[in-house]
Amino acid sequence: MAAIRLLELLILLAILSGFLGMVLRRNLLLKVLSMDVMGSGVVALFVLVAARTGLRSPILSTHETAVSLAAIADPIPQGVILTAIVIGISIQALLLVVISRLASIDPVLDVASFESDSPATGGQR
Amino acid sequence: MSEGLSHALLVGWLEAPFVVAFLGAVVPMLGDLPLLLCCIATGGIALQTLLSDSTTTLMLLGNHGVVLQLDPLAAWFLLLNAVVMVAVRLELRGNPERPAPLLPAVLHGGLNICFVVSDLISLYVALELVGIVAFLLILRDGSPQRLWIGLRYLLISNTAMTLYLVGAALAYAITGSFRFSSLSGLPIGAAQVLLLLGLFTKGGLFLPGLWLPRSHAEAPSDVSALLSAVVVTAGVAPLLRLAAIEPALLPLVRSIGLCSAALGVVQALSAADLKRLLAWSTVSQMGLVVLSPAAGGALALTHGLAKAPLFLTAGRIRERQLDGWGQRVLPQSVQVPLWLGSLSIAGLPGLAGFAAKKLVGSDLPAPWALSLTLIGIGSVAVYARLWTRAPVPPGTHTPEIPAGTALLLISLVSAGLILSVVSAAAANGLQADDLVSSVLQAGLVFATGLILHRLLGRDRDSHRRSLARRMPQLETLQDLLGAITVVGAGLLLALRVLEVPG
Repeated sequence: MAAIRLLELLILLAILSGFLGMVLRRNLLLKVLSMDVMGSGVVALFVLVAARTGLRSPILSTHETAVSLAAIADPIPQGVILTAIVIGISIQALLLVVISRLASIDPVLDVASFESDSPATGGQR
Repeated sequence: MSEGLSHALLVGWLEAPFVVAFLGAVVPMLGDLPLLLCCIATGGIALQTLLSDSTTTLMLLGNHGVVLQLDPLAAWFLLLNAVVMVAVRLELRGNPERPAPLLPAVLHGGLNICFVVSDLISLYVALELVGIVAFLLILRDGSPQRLWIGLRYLLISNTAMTLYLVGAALAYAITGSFRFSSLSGLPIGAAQVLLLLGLFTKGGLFLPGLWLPRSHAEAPSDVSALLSAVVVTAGVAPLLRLAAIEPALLPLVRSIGLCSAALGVVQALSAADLKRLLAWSTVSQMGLVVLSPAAGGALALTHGLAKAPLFLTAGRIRERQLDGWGQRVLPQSVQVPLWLGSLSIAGLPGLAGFAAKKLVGSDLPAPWALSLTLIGIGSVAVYARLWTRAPVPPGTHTPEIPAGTALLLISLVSAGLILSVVSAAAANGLQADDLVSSVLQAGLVFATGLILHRLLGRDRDSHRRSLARRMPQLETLQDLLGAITVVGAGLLLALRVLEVPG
């Protein structure tokens, strides 16, 4: 049980470091990579939550005993996080496409150079 | 048997927009008709649910699967989604740069799911879907400005939704279920705070949601209408649902709502651009919507029906600077939507906004209701800026009001009539003078708001400058990311403080 606690702490630290990266880095690409670190941390968290009941993959074989069934991992969080991984990847891809377009304006991708555009004026039409 | 059939119908209705989007991409000849049929189905189901006051719960894929709940709370938002989507498509008819119905259809379907869903993970999927489509809609023409606005929106909302997933994992670790109902009775802790944080960000509420004004102001106007009227409510409707299931969350949600309402009014009072004024007013109105789980849906509907024509009309005005607006000469086809929409949001008796605000007010304890009145005064002062006194010179050619805007205005007026009649029938026999007093109160609010408008109007420029000096920057990407931390930490701290005496 203590091992799970320690792992949980490490995973939350990973998510936190990803978030800090998002806040502290000024480069857009690094921001998006930090977001990916956060996302990976969340995936690990779900896998950890699933592992509380057991470590075996939740795939039934023909020879199951009561003991082997008890050690099986919880399939629900594992299934759920698959969807989240797919969504995370597609958002990542979209963001990277936009960033590659924005790189033609500022190749350094500094956040400040995009913010400086006057926010008070509305777009045309 | 009939129940099984109606369940199959409901699932079919939820899936239809996605089929339509796919078909529309494969067979472009189909045009808008399938999407319009989907919207009509949504509207019909919403009306039927509202009239029969019924609740249908669907559990797909067993105990741990998807939970859908079609109830009056969802129906208000579904109705809004249907009407605004039809109106925006009608408005764009004949416009050569009109986008294909693919993205709007996916948006419609995603929003429907957001409103009826009642488990954490399906809500996550639907919200991300809506976020991606909104992002694609914003960067329609691919100008650098819009690329940046879209990127910012997706980055912020995805960060918040990642934190939401952490909250969902924590909640599952405690309760062993992702259902909303399993959260009821759970002591409030980090899990709920993270979930709320995600929804606040999506719903454009206090601090992390402040990506909204810039995004809505700079998106194409027909997209702004969709975003501001319906898409923000994708985050707000689940908040109301959660707060209805677990009333202990209400104080947190209400205080954030009140902060958004106040901040939105203060910023809208000094906005220099029409679309920015409308966008800040959305922040403030969404803050009012989350005050009451019971009546919030009605307020969201009336707000959306008024805000969408305002944004559509703003798209037809070339000069959107608000300086000297009162002396502008505008054609009638612009003035009518501007006056009707703004009077409804400001709460003129007889219009829909007034009836909805009264519903919200009657659901609130006294101190909160007082703050609702104060925000109301602010809203009047905000929208008084759009009321032009210059008459239209006779003999000028006046273009007609476009079909989409007209549909929204008709819906707005009829919603106002229906809501007034229903609330009058509900109050029948209890207190007849209740109506009189609320009308008198509205008159007082209008008078005070107009005086405030006069006072501010004299030196709005200096007001704007002093506001810019005193208020910290809130809208850059860095600030928004920081705001997530600040609000999260603030909510946790508030929980500690609330816990100590109890």
